[in-house]
Amino acid sequence: MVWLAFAFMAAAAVLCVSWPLLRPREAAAEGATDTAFYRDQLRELASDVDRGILRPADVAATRAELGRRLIQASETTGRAPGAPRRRVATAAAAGALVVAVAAGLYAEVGHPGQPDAPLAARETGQTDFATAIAKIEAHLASDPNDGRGLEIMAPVYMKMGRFDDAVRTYRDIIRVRGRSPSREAELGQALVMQADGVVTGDARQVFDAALKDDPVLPQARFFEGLASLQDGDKAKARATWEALIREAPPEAPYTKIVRERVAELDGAPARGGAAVARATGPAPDPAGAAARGPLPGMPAGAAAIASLPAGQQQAAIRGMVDGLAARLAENGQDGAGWLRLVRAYRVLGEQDKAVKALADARRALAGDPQATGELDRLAHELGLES
Amino acid sequence: MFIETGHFALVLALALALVQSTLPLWGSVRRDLTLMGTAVPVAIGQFALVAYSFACLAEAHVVSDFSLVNVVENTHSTQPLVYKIASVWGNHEGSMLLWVLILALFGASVAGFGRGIPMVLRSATLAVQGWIASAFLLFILLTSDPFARVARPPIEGRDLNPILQDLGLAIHPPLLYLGYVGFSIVFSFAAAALITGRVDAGWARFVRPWALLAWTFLTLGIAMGSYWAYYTLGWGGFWFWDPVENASLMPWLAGTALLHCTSVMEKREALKVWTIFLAITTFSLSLLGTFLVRSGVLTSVHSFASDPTRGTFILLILALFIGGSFALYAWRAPMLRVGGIFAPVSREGSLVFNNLFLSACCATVLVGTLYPLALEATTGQKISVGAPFFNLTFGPLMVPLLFVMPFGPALAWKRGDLLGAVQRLMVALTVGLVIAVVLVAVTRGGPVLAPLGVGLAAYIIVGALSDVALRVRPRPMPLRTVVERAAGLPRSAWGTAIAHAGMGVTLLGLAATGWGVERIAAVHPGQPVDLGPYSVTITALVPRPGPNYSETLAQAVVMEGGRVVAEITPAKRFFATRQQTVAEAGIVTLGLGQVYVSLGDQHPDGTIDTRMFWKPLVSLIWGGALVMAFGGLLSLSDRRLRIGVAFRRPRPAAAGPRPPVPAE
Repeated sequence: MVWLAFAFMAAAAVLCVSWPLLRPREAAAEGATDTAFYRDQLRELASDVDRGILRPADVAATRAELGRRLIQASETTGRAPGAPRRRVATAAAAGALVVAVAAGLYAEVGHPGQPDAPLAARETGQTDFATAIAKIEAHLASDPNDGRGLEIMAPVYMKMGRFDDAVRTYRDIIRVRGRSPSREAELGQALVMQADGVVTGDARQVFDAALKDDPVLPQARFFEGLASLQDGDKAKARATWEALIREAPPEAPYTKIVRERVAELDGAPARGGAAVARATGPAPDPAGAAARGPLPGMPAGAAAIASLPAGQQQAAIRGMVDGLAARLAENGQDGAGWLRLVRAYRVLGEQDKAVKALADARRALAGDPQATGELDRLAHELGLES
Repeated sequence: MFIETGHFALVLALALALVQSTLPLWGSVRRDLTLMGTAVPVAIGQFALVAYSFACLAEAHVVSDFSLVNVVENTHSTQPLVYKIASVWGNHEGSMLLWVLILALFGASVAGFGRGIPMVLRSATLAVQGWIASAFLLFILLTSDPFARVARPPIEGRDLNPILQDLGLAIHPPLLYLGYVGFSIVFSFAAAALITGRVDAGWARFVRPWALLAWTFLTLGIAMGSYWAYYTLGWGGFWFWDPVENASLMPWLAGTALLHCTSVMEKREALKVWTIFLAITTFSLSLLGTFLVRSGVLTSVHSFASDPTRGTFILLILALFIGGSFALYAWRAPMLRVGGIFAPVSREGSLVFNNLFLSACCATVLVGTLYPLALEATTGQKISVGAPFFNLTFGPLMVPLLFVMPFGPALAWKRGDLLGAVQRLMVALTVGLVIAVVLVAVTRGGPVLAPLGVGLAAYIIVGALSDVALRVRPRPMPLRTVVERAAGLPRSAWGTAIAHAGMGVTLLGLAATGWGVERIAAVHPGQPVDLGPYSVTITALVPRPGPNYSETLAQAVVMEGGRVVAEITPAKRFFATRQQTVAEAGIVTLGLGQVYVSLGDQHPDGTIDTRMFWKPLVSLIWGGALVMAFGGLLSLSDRRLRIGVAFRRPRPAAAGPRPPVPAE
């Protein structure tokens, strides 16, 4: 169907080129249009004299001038159309050029196989999803001890960002189906998400319990490392994560992410700000968007974060921001770093921290008028001016 | 299916543009009628394809088809329909497509409506237009493809930049582009004339309507952009000498000079070299503007996402077209035959003065815009060239230009009579002087320049009107004759007078800014703030949800002498998707001035930061631009042939001493 449309459009375009070549016009009027302008001017001049607007004595010189221009204009003549065979050849060559350029370039840039995907047409699937959720929730309200229903809903809540519901549901699962390391790790992750990426005391207890029964559980160990980092113990965080990478089975999906985090420890959280800005957006399934290569302007670190499950994104971002803050606390002579940090806090919705970071930055960069100028601009842009 | 066919249409349009840039040109050089015959259908076909492609992109935005990267990155499914459509050009890729659409539109219009144009000229013009189209279509397809796809479409988009979510986005870019890009066809006409070697009065007649059309749209586009910045940025300013604004002002200045030149050339075949030069310069400045805005050299709301390859590509296009056309000009201009001769004091002479000053103004703006960029690129040093620089350079150049402006229409063609012109302008000069003197006396201690500006503005307006009045009623005559003569006065003469008066109206608005009042304060709800003749009280702050934002609305009343004269509702909108806050100024027009209130931060103690302004006569700034544009359209509607007739000096015997009457 698409190909038929392409063929029709290409044919129309070729026709635009070849029709005038195959059906040559009469060569008559060419010279006339050139001189017509001056003839019209002379005629108008005469009529003005007739109407009494101009006096004949005044127009004599003008009329002579127009006459001179008329003679100049009539010097050119048009040429008759060429031999039919040449014209057909030109038409064929031009038509072929049109088709070749269009087909060649479209082969490079087009996606003929991909259909349109307007939102309305896709929403039928979505509404089904919404009704399904509503049905399961109604069912769980009448039978709160249905373990299977709870296990379906918990990850859905996580995906939808309803972390309070997720925490409640994971607790219910443990109550109904009993403890297990993996269930506890899931609960721990939900708790971290609920706390905007901070590994709270509650969460840590849950992870500790999980690790007691299963000391190699990757999910729990990842957050264990994050907890160390958030405590300011970089070395321990590094040890935990490096061990996690070492002991991971080959092709484990999480090693890449953990490696990134280790790299961030080495002072590379430079991409933090941008990553936060990108990844904390509504996260419109960036994994899908990245399928054709990362979106333009999206740095590699952000893409890596975007590829994390929604739950871990926040934690990862938080870790990066904290790392940046820690580094700047040690060495404040980094204008660009401060700008990123302030922006990151603002994006994370932490107004107070943003204001504080701004003040710290102004102190640290007091001797650098250009940097403070940029801070002022940023403060204005973000509405942080006091 | 729309998306991929739209994409294919764009590729096909490029193929047709390539044909358009070769066959007709070859035809017009060899005077081969058959080859020249391809120009018209190909130009129209190319426009149809680009238009279809644009419609497909718009359709994808309207139905929120998130399988397009462009739609994902710039819209949200909850946006109101008008912003969904406007978001098509609220981003780099889409705005470039709009650019090319308008380019193709002007090409197709010349193809469709330019029947009177000699075929050689029309074919060569369309060929040059084809070169520009090819270059920009290639740019779009290779570096800024609006039809890039997403394999697994997300459920929601990232929303349009909140600052752009305004009716202004629906109006300003299309108008501005119609002006900016409209000058492309004038450029093409100039290049074609140089290539074919024929530059005469006929040429000027064919070019003039297009230049007028582009100029009118550019005037409206700049005014709209300025008003948008005024009400949306919350600073109360309407012109910031921002490089992006300058980028649109420069083609306007050059275009204004061009406009005046074409009328001289059509009537008198004089100023050929000027006309061609200005035609090339105007569009070159449009291209320069496109480069500045689209390359990422500048960061502003206009520049969207930038990418170095795009900058390089546009720079190449810029070098090719500007360098190429000026090389062609240098090679061919000496061959231009000198047309009608004229005395220094004459209509033509005044227009040369006009050209010189407008060009100098344009050069000042160019230096002020490019110098900081060049300095930053070479030394890394950042300097800001703002209002002070332009007030000191641009201002002094504009004053003599504006002063001489009413003299132009008052002088006769070929050789004028300065004394006679002064006589004709006596009323205007007197009115301007009296107003300035009275204002200086009345507003003692106030701003110095404002009264002088108002005096100059009054002189310009009265000068434009009295010129028409003297043409209609050169001596006492019955009312019926006056009406008849007024109706008989060519529309282009009315257009000139109205456009010149519009300039005066704008100047009046600008001059009156000197008497503006500004208050910046943290106010409690209920606390009145004095603002010139008014007082403003914010009565309540209320939260209100919008379609894709939530806002804090301030209900404010404007009182005059204890009486409520208006209610305004400035607001602060928070867009969750982009985590961005945008202030919506509350504006009410009282008389010709405006009260302007913009909200800042709310404090825990219940106060809110506000900026309040009383701006007398401020609406005239944009009102004047509308008047100018109306004058342009009026002149455009006048398709009468123009012939400059030089009058012999009035014989002393003629009916008594009266000022000489210039030709229509």
